[in-house]
Amino acid sequence: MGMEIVSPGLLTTIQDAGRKGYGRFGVSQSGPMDKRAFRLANMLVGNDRDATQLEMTLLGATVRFGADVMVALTGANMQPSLNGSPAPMYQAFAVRAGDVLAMGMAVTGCRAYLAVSGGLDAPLVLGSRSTTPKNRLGGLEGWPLRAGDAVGFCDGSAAGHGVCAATVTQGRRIAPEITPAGVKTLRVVMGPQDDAFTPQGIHDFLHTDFRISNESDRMGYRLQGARIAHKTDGNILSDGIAMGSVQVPGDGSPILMMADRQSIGGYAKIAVVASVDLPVAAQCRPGDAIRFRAIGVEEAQALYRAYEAEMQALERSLGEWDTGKHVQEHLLGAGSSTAHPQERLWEAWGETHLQEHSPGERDGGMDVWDKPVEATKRTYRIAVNGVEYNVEVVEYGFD
Amino acid sequence: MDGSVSATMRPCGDSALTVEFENEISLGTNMKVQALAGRLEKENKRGVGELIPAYRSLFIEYDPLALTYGEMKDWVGAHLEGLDATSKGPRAVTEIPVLYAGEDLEEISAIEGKPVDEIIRIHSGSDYFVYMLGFSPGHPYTARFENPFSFGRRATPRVEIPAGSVVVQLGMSNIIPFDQPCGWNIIGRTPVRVCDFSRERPFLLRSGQWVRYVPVDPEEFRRIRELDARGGYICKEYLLGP
Repeated sequence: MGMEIVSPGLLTTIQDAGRKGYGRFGVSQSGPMDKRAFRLANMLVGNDRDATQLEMTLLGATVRFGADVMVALTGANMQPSLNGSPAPMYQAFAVRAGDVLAMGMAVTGCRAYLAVSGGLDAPLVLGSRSTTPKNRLGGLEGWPLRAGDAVGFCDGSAAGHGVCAATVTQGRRIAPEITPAGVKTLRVVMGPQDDAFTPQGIHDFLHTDFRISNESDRMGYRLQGARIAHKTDGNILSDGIAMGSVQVPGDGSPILMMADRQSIGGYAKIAVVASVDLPVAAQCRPGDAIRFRAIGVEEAQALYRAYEAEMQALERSLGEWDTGKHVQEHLLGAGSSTAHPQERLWEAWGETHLQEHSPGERDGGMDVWDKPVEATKRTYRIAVNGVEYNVEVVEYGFD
Repeated sequence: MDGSVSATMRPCGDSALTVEFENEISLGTNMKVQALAGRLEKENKRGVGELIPAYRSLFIEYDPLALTYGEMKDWVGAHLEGLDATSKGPRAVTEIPVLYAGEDLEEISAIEGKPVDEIIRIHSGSDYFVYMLGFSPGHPYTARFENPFSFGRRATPRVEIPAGSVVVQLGMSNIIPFDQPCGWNIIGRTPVRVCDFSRERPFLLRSGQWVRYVPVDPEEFRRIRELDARGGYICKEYLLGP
């Protein structure tokens, strides 16, 4: 069981990390536009970094779940609601079979990501599930999602089975990214063909603002603003195109190449946006203003390493939150009187709450929807701050 | 061959670089691209991502968490040392059957002032080198050394031409894998699919090999197309000695 697309919104596609290694055969990489939001969504539900998600654009989708899963929404705030009540962003929460998650218009940003625990399923094509509509590749037969489509979940336990996974992520929460108001600055590494432009062209590129035009999609954004002057005509012998490349055709109007870009192209590329700023570009919408600022390749790489360190620290802290906070709060918190918590058994109720294994002491905040009809128990040993705990996780089946 | 092959390396952002050889479409230059790609690939170096060979350049993706730009330049530079890019080895040739009945065949014949039979003889009479694949999956850019034809692109591109079209201008010839807009003249149609994702080997061709266009009649075209649709047609492939 997976979920049904009740309405697809403007453009909703299945994306994983992208199709790598086939550029030499002319295959676009695709993958998420905003890799940061994508990674955070997977992190929140305890998935592998590259697990498959939905990417939604400006107007989000409405989906009906056919199974119980943990979900998380990141990226653009599309005013999500679960069964009519506001649903959180940047937080893992549980949904049940039959629940309807509805997204509306993005009030900030452009692209939102919906991750489900375990990831979405779709046929692997050339090692990826990413949708590339222009090549009818990936996703569900190569198309953006349509109303009535059924999207499966990976590693789906049998229909109706309970949801306690080994990864306990209920309530995982991270601070949403702040979308800066006004003109957004994208740092760039100049080249590879910056020498194809006049000094005036380079100056205009770095010192004037550009507007994202309506002719913008996952392939690239046409930018409005100064015409960037070439020394000659701007044509080069076609070569490979990195994500974030700013290519300038003969008319001088730059195009920012994004996830669905073609593998090679014949226009001079004046610069390439630094990886750390690609998420900012991905959340730009038509009409937004951007400006470019040149940095060296070494600086761009240092920024990327710092970003990676930040992501890994976040990943660790979320993991510690799961074990540490849950175990500490539930074992050592108010009302729990044991002096030797490491000897106590705890269970995960319903979704993922860890709870002392004694009747009548349930966490007030938790919600058990159905009567469990079947239970399997697994025992984990978890170390928190040097103290080991036995945790008994109970998986419930629901009818 | 001694010393280093001269090339220019340029960053393509923080996660890729491009290695450029002479700014020309020539077999000699593209052989350097292919030779370098082959060498780097053999290393299977951690942190190095995909390689995209083009006419005169090699695009190399890498992970800046594993390798800095400086380290990449050093590594690639070392492999330019003594790069043997002479075409001493045999040519890998794939035969592409073509029904020479393209929309523009008569027009080509008129422009060139040669009968249709002669146009077909010229196009199928010399092998084409696959410089690169791009534009769409499996789309080869093939060319020969001389320009047998004088015409370039059409004045007005067509909004869509069908998959299988064999298009030409000057010394170049492409095979269209999927319906697409195109400004080139259509000389014929091949019954084989150069790209089919359902095949174990989705792409019929790869850069650095050769293509020979072989005329077939309408009956043979139909036969091959039916076979190919079932995955039952295998193009003739062989090595031609140096």
